[in-house]
Amino acid sequence: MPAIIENDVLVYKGSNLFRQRVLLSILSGRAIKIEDIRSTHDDPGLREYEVNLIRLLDKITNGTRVELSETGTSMYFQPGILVGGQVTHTCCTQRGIGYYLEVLLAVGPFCKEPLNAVLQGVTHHDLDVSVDKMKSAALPVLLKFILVDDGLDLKVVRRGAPPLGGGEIVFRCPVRRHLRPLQWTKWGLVKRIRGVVYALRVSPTMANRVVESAKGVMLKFLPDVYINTDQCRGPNAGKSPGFGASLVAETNEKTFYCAEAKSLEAGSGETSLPEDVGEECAMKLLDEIYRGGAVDSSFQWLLALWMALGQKDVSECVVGPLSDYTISFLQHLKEFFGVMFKLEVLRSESEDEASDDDEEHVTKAQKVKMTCVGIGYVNISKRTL
Amino acid sequence: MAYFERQKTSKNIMKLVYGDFEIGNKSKEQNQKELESDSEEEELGGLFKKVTNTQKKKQKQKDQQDVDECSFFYSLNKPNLRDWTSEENKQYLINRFVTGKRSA
Repeated sequence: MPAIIENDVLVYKGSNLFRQRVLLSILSGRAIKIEDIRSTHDDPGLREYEVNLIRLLDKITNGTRVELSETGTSMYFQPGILVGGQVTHTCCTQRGIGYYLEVLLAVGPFCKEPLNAVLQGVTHHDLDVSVDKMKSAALPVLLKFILVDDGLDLKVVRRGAPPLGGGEIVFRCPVRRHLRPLQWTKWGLVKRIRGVVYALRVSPTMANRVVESAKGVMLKFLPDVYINTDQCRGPNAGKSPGFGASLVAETNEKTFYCAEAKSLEAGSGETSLPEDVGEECAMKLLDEIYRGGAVDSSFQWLLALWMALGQKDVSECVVGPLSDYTISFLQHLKEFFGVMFKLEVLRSESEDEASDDDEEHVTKAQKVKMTCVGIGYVNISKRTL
Repeated sequence: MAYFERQKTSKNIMKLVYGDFEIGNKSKEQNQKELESDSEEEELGGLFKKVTNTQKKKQKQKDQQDVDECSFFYSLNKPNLRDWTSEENKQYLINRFVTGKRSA
């Protein structure tokens, strides 16, 4: 929902999309105020993981001012300057590391010092993108914008399943003065499937059983399937038991789709079979491939952000159907930066003959062409040589 | 699920995203007119009041206000995925792979 602007402060209501708003606030330098944060809930106010995010952002910025109301249901946020550099942060275990890492990745190129962050916490979470997915699907997107990879790196040192976590990752991101505009309208065909299956504090056979079933599904489509198992031992396995998989499909135009599945939390009452986890993961990947587009659906918003912040030139990308998260992100982009994308639904040309036989079964996943002119965002901390 | 509903209706995507903002030359007067027409309450059978569009919108906003944030495509609801391995569904996918038969 649109913000109300009071003295150049954007005022929002509710805790939803908290991360988007804070992130854009930092990049745009505009102060925001969020009211009515869970004001009708039994436990009102900001959650621990949101406060934790603010702490992290405080570490990578200089001069950020945050004012919380007594009840915690309203927050005033005045962003400082992005500094970056060396950061160590213990993430809240209510959310995965992905929740924090996505923000770091989004602001990474615009910091003063190259970001070198050590994050500790839950590496795989139901609500958040896992670290494996960030590594395999999100980093290539940034690579498209910066072209040269000098030190873009994500290393999973330890894994940690919820609820206790105990994982650790190291994330490095180079800085750029500006991002280049991007034309990315083709994504080609899937040429190989790769994957990682991890087993933490459970029998190593679990991992093998997951691999078996996931591979069984994928082999029906493509012979080039290779899935690694990561058997973590001792302290490398974190504090809680669990297992899961993430599969990556790589196309011949360097688009990466990634899907993941994981076991239910220990102590939740139900148990999950490794075979089911493997199959679920494979099905999700097929669904992702079906929807298509130049980027994985979870990172459409990152693509939109970097397109909008590019040089003053036209960027053009074709993605699969927009996710709800992306739609609200586009709305926020308009509010913070005044960037409006031109969005067109592409009609499929060659595959028209398939659509006349039966009803909704054949509905093609729509493709959306996003076009925008970058606002010419410049990283003022980075000098040109 | 929002996505499937959306897929059925071929709504203008610009409007979907930027609908709450003004696109092109939709003026403030027009907005006001809409508000006015909403405020006239229609009564059905003299007993019930029809839910107006603005009320609907407000309710929706309230529902979404404090939802947990999640960047996944299906976000919080568990998707009902199609069984892609069944023969008929496989046809739609096979050409997305390098090994699929070329349509040309």
